[in-house]
Amino acid sequence: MAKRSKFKPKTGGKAHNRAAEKINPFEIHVNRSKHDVLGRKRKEDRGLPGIARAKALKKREKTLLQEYKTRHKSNLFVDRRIGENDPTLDPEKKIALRLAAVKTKHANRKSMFNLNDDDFLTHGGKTLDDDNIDDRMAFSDDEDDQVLDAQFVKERHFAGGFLTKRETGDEEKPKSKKEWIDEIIAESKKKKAEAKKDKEEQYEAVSKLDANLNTFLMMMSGKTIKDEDKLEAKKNCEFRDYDTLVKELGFDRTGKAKTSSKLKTPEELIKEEKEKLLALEADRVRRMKGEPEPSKHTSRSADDLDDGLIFTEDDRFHLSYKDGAMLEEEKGNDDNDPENDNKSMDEEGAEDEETENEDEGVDSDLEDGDDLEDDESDKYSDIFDEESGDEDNDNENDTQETEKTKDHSVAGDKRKEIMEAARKEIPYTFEVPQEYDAFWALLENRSPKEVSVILERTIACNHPSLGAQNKDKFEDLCTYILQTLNVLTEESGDSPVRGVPPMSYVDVLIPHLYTVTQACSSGVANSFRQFVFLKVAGVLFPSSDYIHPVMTPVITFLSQLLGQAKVNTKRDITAALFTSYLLYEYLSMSKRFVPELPNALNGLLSLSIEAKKKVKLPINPPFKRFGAASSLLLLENNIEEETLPKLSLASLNDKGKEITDNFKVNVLSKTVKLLHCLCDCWSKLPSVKALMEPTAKILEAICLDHYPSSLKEMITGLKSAIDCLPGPKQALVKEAKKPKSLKMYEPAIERVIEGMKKSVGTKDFQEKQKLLQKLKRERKGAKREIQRDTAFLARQQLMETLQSDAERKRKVNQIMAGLQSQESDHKKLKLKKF
Amino acid sequence: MKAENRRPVRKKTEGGPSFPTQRLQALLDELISDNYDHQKCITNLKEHTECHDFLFYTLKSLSIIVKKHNKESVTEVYMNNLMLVLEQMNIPDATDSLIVCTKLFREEKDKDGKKITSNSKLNLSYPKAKRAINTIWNEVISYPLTGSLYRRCLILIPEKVMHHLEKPIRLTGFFMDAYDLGGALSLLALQGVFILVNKYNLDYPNFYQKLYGLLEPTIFHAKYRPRFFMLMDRFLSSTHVPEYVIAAFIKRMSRLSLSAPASCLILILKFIANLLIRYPGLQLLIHNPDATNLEDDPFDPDEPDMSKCRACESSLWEVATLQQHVVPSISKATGFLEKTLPIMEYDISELVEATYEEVHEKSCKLIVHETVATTFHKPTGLFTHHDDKMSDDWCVL
Repeated sequence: MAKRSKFKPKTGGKAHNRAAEKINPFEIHVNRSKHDVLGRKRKEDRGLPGIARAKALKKREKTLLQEYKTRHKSNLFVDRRIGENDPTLDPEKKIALRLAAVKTKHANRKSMFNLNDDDFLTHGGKTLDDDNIDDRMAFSDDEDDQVLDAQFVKERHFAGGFLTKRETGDEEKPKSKKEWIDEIIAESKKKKAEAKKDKEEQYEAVSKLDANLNTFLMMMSGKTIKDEDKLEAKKNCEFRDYDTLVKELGFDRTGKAKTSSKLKTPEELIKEEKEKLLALEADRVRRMKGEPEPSKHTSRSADDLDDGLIFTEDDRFHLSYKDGAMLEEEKGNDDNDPENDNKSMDEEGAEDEETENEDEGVDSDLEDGDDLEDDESDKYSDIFDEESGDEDNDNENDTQETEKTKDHSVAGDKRKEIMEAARKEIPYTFEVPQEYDAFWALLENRSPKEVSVILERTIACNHPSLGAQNKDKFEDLCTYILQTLNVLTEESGDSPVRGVPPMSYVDVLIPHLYTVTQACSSGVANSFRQFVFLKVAGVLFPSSDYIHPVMTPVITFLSQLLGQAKVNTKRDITAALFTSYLLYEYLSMSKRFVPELPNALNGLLSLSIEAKKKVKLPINPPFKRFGAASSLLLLENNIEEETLPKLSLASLNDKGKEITDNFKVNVLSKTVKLLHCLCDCWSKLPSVKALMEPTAKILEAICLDHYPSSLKEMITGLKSAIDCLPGPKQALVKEAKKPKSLKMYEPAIERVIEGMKKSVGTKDFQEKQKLLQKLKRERKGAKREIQRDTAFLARQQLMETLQSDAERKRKVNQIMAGLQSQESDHKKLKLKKF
Repeated sequence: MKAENRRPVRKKTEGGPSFPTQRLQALLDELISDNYDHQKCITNLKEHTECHDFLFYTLKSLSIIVKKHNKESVTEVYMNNLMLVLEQMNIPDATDSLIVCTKLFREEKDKDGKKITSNSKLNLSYPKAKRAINTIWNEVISYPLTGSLYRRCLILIPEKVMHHLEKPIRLTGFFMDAYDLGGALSLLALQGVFILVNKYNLDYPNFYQKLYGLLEPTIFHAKYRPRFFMLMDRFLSSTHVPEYVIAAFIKRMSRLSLSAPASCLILILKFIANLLIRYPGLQLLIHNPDATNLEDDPFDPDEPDMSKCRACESSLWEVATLQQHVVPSISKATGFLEKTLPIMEYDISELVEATYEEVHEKSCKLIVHETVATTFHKPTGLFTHHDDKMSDDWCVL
């Protein structure tokens, strides 16, 4: 076949090697080269045509001839017995090999349905082994196959069987096959018996328990469980173990993520919290600049703190501790247990409910008794936190945590008393009412604290993580809360309890509104477009974003208020000041610019100037230089040093109060203070000096004779601050553009190698040429092979014909010879007769 | 009154070609009474003034009435009535007046069912009408006018009357008086002056100076804001205005933008951009790499003389400030500071009437997505949340 034989001797036998060395020189055929190149080795300068031909012939005899011979046969017999064709194997080895083959075949059939041999099915973070499923009742007997221990099967059946045994333990005499199989059978029978015994024992125990439960239920049917019973049950230690066990189990179910986070030290937790806040802050800064989101990563919101908690089926979602107190996680988890149990039961369908209630009723009741203490204390600690939070405002999450623990220890006793009173009144689960009136009825006659508790429980019971339909409920709830806010803050707003000012409820509502917003931001955002609660909006949504569906309208509305609302009464002044403060708060983070704000503040300043002096002052609409309300805040009497009270939101609702001197001073000082803040806030703007010039002029015109000295100081401070503002240092320059580079073509680099044929064309073309050439060569070779095959077959056929001819000739001769001898005999006989 | 009002039509149809001049005069005498406001009836006249013969005779009789009237005893009611009548009349141009007149008259006849061809007998001549108009208006501007009447005159004269007058230059004094009254009137007066300068070769050197003086913060709150900006756009579109004047205007506008309401800011910015496109030499105001080490803005906002206010040496820092404006659309409109200016000017005609409500509505149209950003610090009360600046000075109760 191969024309050129290889000169390298094969590494196989020595005889062959020697034969190759002793090549007959007459068999070598030398190809003459036309141009001899020195130092170049050519592969094809010599060949061994005789040997090559013989090789090819041999190969054809092995393949083509065989086929030729069996050309008329439709089937053929192949001996595939293991080791049958190999004469070197001894019979025992042969048997072992065959046995191994059989076992693997079986194993394959079984493992066909095993998806993953290494991985086990898991549930709740634990493997589903027989060890873990203790309570599984396998009463049926048709699972006998599985009685054999997996380990046993693995050892005995597959792991090499006695072959491996023999290799490892050399001294022992190998067991025969029969012994081996006997052993296997005995082992499996033993295991089977053991399993059966276990099963029976388990069954007995369960049926006993069932019977006990029935009698117990009969016994308890007439009784209702009271609080005293619960307390007693709590003291009774018998169930403590069971309770803790249940808790542990429940805790285990939440998965590994929680346990790992629980192991962290408080410092680590604080650090983590800080990192989270940092990341959120970075995101906020990005939104402030109006940059697009950096990646396709879609964060649910800026406040998606809860690690995908919403998406897991975690029933123990608790709200009040969302960020801070991981340490109290366990407690918090338990708090909501009774409610959640009820909730989950509701969802499981009506049929199961009855029976399950019977089963679990006892347990959960006992649990309740246990948990009541923690439950109450936690809920109320929240309220206490709120109160303390009111006092010191910058209550960061980090500090909150420590405070909470303090609260627990210090105020514990007092709280219990309050708890006792309140617990009797407020139920634990609340449905979100269908109508606003029903919602209002819920809150009626409740103190602010109680309202807070009610709202918290409502939120906990109807959290969207407990079911998809709760999302709609949350949106409803949000509208209710906003509506309540609306009612509370109206001029004639009525309070749930008589005598308590309606405004005192506002603070209580805000945190809950926040929680609702966290859970379904888009719903709340939608309802915020309908009634713009200007301040609340800023609490719930980031004001610094470049563009935001809630905050942008709010800010434009605020600026419109400042730009157009006329100031004629005391209420107007307070409202204008409030709006200015609010706008400043929203701007302070992003340091953005609103012309209306300094305008309005200048106008407020100008209210305390005489009309005569105002002719040349830069006062812009809606404030007027002259008119009845143009000098509302002009001070006419001397004012002593006084403490200036905080302005109140509630005062926006009472109309037509007398403008006292104290109020005048208060407004002026607040305005000056805010202007000072604005100065600082906008100090980076290029034309801040021009912006503040009118303010400086107005300040000059204010007659300071009557004012207390502290206010005078404030005003001079503001003046100096305006004087110190930097003017523009440099004219505007456009950013230099990058020079545009000339269009370049790809450099044409050719590989030039001496002595080689220069190939023309692109790389693809060359590749194609190469392949075409190869194809041509291959085709040629194949053609030649086919010719040789035909020649071989023809020769074979000729040989067969010759052979059969010769045979025939021989037979004819034989017959003829026979006939001749017969004839001669006959003739001889005839001659004898005659 | 209505019946009286119908009378001319009836009379006219009966009288045929000869117009009932006497009756009309009596009617007008009654309408332009000294002491009764005939607003309703006069507005009814409007449909008749479409017929040119009626118009012609009205003008004629009006001129007689005005001449007869005693100048000393002019009351406000009288002026109101007169002005209302004048406002109703839409005097056609000289070129096509005769043809259109006769045609309309005949149609009027056709409508009434009497087909009388009487074109030839009509003597509606434009010169006569013109004379009548001249006499009327000469009298009117000599009366002492109140604010609102002034305003109506100033709107009516440049739009409808001016081209019928023989010597419009005579109005200059009238306009200058109006300008001195200040406010919106001065603006309207400027429009008349502009037409005089533009069409009647009035030499009025202080025109731009006066316009510059009108640029005050109150202009953004004035009722005639859209008209003002459209006019200013027209005034400043001249190619013969020196650059320092335009620079002063630009700088003044940008300075005003620091106290302008949000609804006007886009207009101001586009206006400035338009001026910069019109006068490429002034792009120094937004790109001046040579001017460094400035102490302060060289521009003097209080200087009324445009040549002395040094606007050319300044730069538009105010626009750079507006880049930080809260409203996203405004901060985007300042894009011309960084990008190259477009070749075509912006169309400001839609922007001149923008209001706060529109700005607010536009911002309300933002779509609320599922992933609305929220704050991430839990608040404990209305004034007690993470980055609260108000709690020092405000409380709920």
